[in-house]
Amino acid sequence: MDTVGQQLIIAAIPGLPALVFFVLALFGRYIKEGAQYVAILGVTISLVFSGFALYFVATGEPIDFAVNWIDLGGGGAFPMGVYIDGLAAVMLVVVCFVSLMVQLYSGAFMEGDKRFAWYYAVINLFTASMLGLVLAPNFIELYFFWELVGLCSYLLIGHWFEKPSARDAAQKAFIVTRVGDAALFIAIIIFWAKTGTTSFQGISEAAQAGFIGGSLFTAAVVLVFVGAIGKSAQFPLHVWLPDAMEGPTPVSALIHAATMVAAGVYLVARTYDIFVQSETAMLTVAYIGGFTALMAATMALVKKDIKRVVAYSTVSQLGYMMLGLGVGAYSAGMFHLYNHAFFKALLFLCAGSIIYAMNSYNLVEMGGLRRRMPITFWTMVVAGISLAGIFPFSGFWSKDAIVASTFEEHYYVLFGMALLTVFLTAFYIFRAIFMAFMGEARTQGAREAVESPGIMTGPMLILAVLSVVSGLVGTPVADYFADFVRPSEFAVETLGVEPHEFSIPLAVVSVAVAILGIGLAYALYARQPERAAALARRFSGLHTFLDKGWYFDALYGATFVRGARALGRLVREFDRTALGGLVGGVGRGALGTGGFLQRLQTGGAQNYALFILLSVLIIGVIVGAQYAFLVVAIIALITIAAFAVGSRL
Amino acid sequence: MARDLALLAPEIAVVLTAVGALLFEMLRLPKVALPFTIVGLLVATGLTVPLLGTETTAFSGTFRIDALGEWAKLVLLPATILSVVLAYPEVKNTEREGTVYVLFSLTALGALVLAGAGDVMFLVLGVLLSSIGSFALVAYPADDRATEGAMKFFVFGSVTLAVMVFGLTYWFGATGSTLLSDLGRLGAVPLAAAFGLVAVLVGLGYKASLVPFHFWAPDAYEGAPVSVAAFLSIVPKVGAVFAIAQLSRDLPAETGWPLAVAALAVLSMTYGNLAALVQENVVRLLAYSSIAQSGYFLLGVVALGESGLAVRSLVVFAAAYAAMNLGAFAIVLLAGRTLRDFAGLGRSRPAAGAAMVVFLISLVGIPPLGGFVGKLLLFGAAIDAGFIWLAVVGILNSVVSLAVYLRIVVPMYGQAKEKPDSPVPVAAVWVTALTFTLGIGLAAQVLLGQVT
Repeated sequence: MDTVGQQLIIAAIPGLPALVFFVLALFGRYIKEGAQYVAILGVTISLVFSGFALYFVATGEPIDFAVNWIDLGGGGAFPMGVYIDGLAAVMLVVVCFVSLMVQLYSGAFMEGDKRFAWYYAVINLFTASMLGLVLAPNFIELYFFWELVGLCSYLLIGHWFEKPSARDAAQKAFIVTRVGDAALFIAIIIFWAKTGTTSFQGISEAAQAGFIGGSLFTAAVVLVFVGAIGKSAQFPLHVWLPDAMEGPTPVSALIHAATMVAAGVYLVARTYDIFVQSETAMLTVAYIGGFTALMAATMALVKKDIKRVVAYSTVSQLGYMMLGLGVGAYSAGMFHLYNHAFFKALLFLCAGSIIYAMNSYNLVEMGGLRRRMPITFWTMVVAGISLAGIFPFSGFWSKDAIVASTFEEHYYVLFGMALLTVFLTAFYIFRAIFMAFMGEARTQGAREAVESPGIMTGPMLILAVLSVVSGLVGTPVADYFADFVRPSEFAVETLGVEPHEFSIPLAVVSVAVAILGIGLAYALYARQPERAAALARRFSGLHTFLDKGWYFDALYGATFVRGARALGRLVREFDRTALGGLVGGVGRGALGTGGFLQRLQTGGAQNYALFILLSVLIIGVIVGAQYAFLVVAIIALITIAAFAVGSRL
Repeated sequence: MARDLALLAPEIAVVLTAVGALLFEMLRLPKVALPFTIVGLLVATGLTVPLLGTETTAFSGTFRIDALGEWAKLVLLPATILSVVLAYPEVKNTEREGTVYVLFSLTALGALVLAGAGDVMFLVLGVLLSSIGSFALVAYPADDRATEGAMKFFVFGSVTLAVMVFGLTYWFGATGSTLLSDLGRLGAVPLAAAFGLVAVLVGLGYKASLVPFHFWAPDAYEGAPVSVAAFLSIVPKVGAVFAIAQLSRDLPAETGWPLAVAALAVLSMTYGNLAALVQENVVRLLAYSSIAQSGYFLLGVVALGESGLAVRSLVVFAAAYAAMNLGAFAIVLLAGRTLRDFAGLGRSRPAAGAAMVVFLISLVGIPPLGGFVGKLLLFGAAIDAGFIWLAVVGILNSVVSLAVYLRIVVPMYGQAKEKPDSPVPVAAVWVTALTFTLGIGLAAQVLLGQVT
């Protein structure tokens, strides 16, 4: 049923934003502020087409077509194609929708920016890359867009490259995620070498047929997951995400809600048939996810920068999604990704609205904004309640499903961690809300803040409505979402999980825990702020530990960054000094060629000869290692000795 | 005889180009020598095209006309042309301008001889021919730095070449032949085989600037004109790598060459990237990066005979590497040699800055650029041949290399300095290089379909 028209529509979904990128990159300097209209038109059409794709998939079979990008004849081929099932269709709509909201909002937020058109150009390339990633039916195509997403995030996080901190953050994000990318690439190559294909379906079938198995298969699957860890900022590669807050706030909304970080979770879901075949990999996913959720939540407890609170919250929520996927709650995990996209985008837009109004990120400098910015306040409260998982807001349905699944599948440790995270989540988000909006204004900026313009509050209101109702498609009464986005039958059989039953006692417990968290935040930050400050002083060690993000940055800085640089310097010094006299001389003094030749005669050249012969020895050992190790070594040694002695005579 | 000469038409055209340009130089007409060289090399490239797909040898098996040799011409001759164009703004109105163009042609000829060698004597000839011209090219500015670099290059080259010739006598003694196709007989005499192999790797490793024979490279590149550095990092290097490939095809695996080449690959990639991480001079940084890239090349070499992808991966990566490296050096010529000179380039010259970013991320191996396709095939070939660990080392190195290349990108978008001049020849070179870097990535199939 894949007609040409249908294929064109699908191709246009990522194609239009890509086209917008080229138009704006080439002509942006002439269009200037008009760039936003071009961009919004493009992404709106993409959104409509994504709606069509959703309709096609809902009423028919998954869409699947491909052409060969590289054909190696007998050596196989790398196709480029499209595969859309329920999962991909939902993602398409979410990505386009959030991108549209962010682009509307950015029109005001980025007004007067020096590189306004360029900003819109990159946002569209970013959207196009993410849409391409969602459509990919095989690893190579996915990797293609995966890297493009990374590249765009580098450009966007570093958009204000005049600030050194923005440049550093962009670089950090690029390199840290690149570690994950390298792991993913290794996994792809292993799969390709062993199964001869890169398609998700093909690899899954080859693994079932036993072409690849055992520890190599487990290693490859875990490496895929390491790739997801990098992009989705999971422990231990989460360090880039908080720093990525240096980018413009709407970009953070896009990165955190629908693109980039969602890519990691999406990758695991997309390759679920491969993952379920390795129990070790599934457990890794579950425990890394559960641990990240808890860890990031503790980090968010003490942050003074409102964007960083929300950023750590994303790391934590992504941990939930991974946890869900890991314990077999596929639909619940993806449902959370879908709900999270709306309320997290909203939280960022609210934070952006405050920043726009008073030009500060610091919660300490806010206070009392409730009366000055009522729309921002109420939308942020809605997003906060949804994030905390209070019935019947959207976050409740998906979070409860994940938490309940850990219990039903008897992962009690993970269940405990998840429940504790529920408490912490409710606490930190309402701590931020109370600090910003309640009490008295603490600075002049906060006293003079005014509500943001309609083009910004409009998208916020739309997202606020969705943060309340988006979950209603997946209630226990009528779970449309789980019917539409469901694991393959193969995955269900392999995992042997029971379909999730809604459990009222568990739901009551999780909501009660969340309300407890909100209550504590209210008591500490709205009623008696001085008590919170006293607590921070009393446990200052713990406070600093959390504020420094468990010292991960310091640790990585001391080991990897310094280590690589030290090694590099060592290597450089070796190059410089190993050759002694010859290097130090000519050119720096007034020796000229005559002096140089003199040096040559008095000893510099032996260093060269000796070094080369030493290298001969090294290679000789390698070559001879198989059968005549000693003989070659001895011959080389004798040669070196002969040369060394000879050159001194 | 006539058949042999016809098969060598491209090489003969290169010789005639060099001789003709030399004549014009003697007549003090460098303005004629330049276009003559460019046209001559273009003709040589054109003469290669009809040979594509031929698999034969000339002069009793001593010279090979095969995919490696043909593609070496199709990649290296255009790269030489672009280097010549790049050299023009640097050497124009100097005393011996024309000789530079002549030396480019002769050195390129040496690289072609290496890439098509079917006989160990051709290996020696190729190394010599491509070295002697290079020494003079590096020393051309005749200042202290250039002299030092050239001297180092010369001393190093002499010693390695002596070692190489010395070791090759063992092969001759053992097989009674200098033909590469007779190397199969070495299986019976392991010791002589090992000794010769070590010596050959020393000689060719020096030409390809593989660790641990790379010492001359950073100094020579730094002292030389930028165009010469660009040329040296591409043409003789690719020639030498292809020569190692020619050799490896005939060498029995029992001699242990795959392991030795794999070890050199690991050393070069790791050492090159780590050393590049701390350089302040962009030319030196690119010198170390090109050492690392030679290591990647060897992934295709180890796969020879085991994987059908090997030759194709070498050719595609050579083409991509030539384009992206030339482009990067062209921008260096435009901006300046230190990292500080790159400050603000992205703002004062946005197009050139964006092109530099493309070249650098292609060197890292990020899709959809030429470098990615080349590396994908190289890794694929290595894994196909059972060298998974080697591919893993290569991929991990690409993480380090990102940090290396970002060191150039980051200052480019800092505080802008004054706008650097952009001579037309330099712009022409980077635009061409950019076209190929993008084209090889997006339309990889067009190139791959031609390589058999």
